Amino acid sequence: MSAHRFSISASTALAACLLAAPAVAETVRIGVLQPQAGDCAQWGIPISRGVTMWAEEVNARGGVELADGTKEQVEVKTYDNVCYAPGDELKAARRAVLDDGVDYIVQTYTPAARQAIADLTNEQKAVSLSYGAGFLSGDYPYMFGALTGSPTSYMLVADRIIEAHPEARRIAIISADNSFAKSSKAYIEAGIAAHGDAVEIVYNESYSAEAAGDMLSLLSPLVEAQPDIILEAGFVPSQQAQMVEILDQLGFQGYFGSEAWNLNFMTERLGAERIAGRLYSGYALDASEGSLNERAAAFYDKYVEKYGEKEWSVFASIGYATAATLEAGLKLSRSASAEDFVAAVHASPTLDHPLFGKSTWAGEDIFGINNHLYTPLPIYNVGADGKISLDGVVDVSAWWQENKPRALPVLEQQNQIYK
Amino acid sequence: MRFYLLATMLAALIGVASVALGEYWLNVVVIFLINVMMLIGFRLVTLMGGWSFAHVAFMGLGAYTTAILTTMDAPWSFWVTIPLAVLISGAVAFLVGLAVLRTRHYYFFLSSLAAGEALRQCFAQLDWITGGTYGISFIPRPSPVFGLVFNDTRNFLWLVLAFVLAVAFFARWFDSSEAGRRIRAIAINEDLSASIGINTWAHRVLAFVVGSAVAGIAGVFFASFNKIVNPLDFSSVYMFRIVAAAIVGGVTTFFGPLLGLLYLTAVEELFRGIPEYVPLIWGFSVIGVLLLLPGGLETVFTGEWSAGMRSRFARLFRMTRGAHDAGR
Repeated sequence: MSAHRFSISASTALAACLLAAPAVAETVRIGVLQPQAGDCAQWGIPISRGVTMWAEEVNARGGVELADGTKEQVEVKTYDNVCYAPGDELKAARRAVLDDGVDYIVQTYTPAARQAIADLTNEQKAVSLSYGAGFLSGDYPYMFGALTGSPTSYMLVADRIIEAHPEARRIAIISADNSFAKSSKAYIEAGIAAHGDAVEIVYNESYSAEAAGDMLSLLSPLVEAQPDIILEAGFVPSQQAQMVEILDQLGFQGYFGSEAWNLNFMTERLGAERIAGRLYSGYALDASEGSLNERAAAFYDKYVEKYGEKEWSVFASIGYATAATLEAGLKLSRSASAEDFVAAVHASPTLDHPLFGKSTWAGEDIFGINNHLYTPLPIYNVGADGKISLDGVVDVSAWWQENKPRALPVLEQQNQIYK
Repeated sequence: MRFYLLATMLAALIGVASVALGEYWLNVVVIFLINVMMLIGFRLVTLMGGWSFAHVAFMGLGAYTTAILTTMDAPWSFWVTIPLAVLISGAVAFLVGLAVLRTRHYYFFLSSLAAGEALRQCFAQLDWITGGTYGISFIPRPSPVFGLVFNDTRNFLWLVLAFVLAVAFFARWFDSSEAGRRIRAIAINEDLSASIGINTWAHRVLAFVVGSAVAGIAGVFFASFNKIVNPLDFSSVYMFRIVAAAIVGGVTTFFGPLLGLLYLTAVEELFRGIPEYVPLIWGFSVIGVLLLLPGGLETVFTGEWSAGMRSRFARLFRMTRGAHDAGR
């Protein structure tokens, strides 16, 4: 009887589910929700490695320190979110929080993906830390922007390029047609708005993921607009390299801005001399440029030792720096519970960050809650040797206070205000 | 009889599961049941002999119907959005069907894939209503009924189960109705069916519309359970999961797709530590089933597999003996 045989199979499957009870451990559990395969893994794997290496470093010191001086070991697990799709983000977060008992999530700044897990953070009292903000809200106190990462950094990179090159007045924006790139585009426009009528946006188009496969067709209309500065959001690192190469071939001699560049790809394809002084970026921190912080520089050395220089990506620094924010917050907290962590960081308007020093909790103007840590933002360029070089450091709180009247209406117009 | 036994067993298993399982596994079961509903709809479409790759887009239509209406300034009740989702998914399926159902075989596959992608692009591009690539967030769960609050995953699971069973009973009735029998006849031989006076095109449209409307109901529950919809949720990757479940399980019985889905869900959960290999395992599973169990896992239970294997072995034996005799 087929139904009988089917019932035996189904009962066995159910029994397997019943036996798979969640494990209980005595450590601080961190779940990193990042793409682990496909194109987007070019972001996800280095970020995951950054958090994991931070945990190894902290565990080697006896664990992460709490306010009373006690230390707890840290356990990091990665969860595939495919490519920051909200449904997959939620699935990954459910696995992390509901099944594995994760207390702290490290996730993207992509607004839709953050919104997807917002209710879960409240219901399960799980902290979500992002290497940027994207989406925060007074209704979701467990969600934090752990750094001045994207999309905020796009605003500051755009501002810096314009300021550094008074002769470059024509700006092009090219962005992917997805949640995180749209959000980044809004912040780029806010950064440009800080310069009022002094500059002109001559091209501002979005592309679908499929269109990125035909880079020449995608970029030809952009070049026809004759920009001096090109700001991009949404290409994966290998596509960025392709973009710069094609634009170079099409005769573009101006400047580029993005959250980060993979200089290994760039120098391989173009050579150092073609990119020196032209590629601006700013995404929390690039540990390969060691002048800002010794600990970050040591992390870079360890990363290169472990994975090799070719495997280096600035995104590893982002993961490491985000985890360092958790470290600083737990140092104020009386226990490693998410509730105590939130209470501790909300009790102080600043945080003494291990990599950036004293940083201010901000975000009220945009999100209605000061859950975004404004860490000073290093802006990078490329040196003559093709290596990353520090262009300057932006005091983000001061910048925002000065430019808010022009930047905020743009963000509002682009639906980036979540108050 | 077998169908009723299966339905009772499913209800009983879910009943036990709802008491015994932790929160995470309850979530898995809810998503599993929503996918079961999708597969019931997909199986109805396959009755007419074509495998539609637009199916997941009709689920998206249902999901967006609920998402848009329940998050408006004057929000509609979740319960009202269910019939509306059925109507909208069915109506759009009818319009799409007018074009794609004029094609057959590979052309039907390609045209339905293109239609599905066009609908998904609508979700992404009509941002004034769909939220574009941001999607729609903070969709409320259904309002309470008889004191049952659906923010509780257990209660939501029971609600989905009730609808899965209702849809399954409807599909069963449709399957055995005169229209259902005609549709199956068309799938076997369309020219012959037309020659005895069956309006083949109308019956194919009927199967397509009904199956797509069922996908719309699945979309309603998907949106309400996840509380967010986004164009990426209805991508071709999801469509591949549904097709893979249908291939692995088979589509001639009601429990075939269920088996396929159970297998694929188990693979996904067992190998979640190495997610990069899950598509590979799915791919090998599909190829393996096509080679070894052409009718899907269901043939193991219906006895067709052993008969098929016997005949394959017999054929192989005859060929070997023929070659041996020729050698002599």
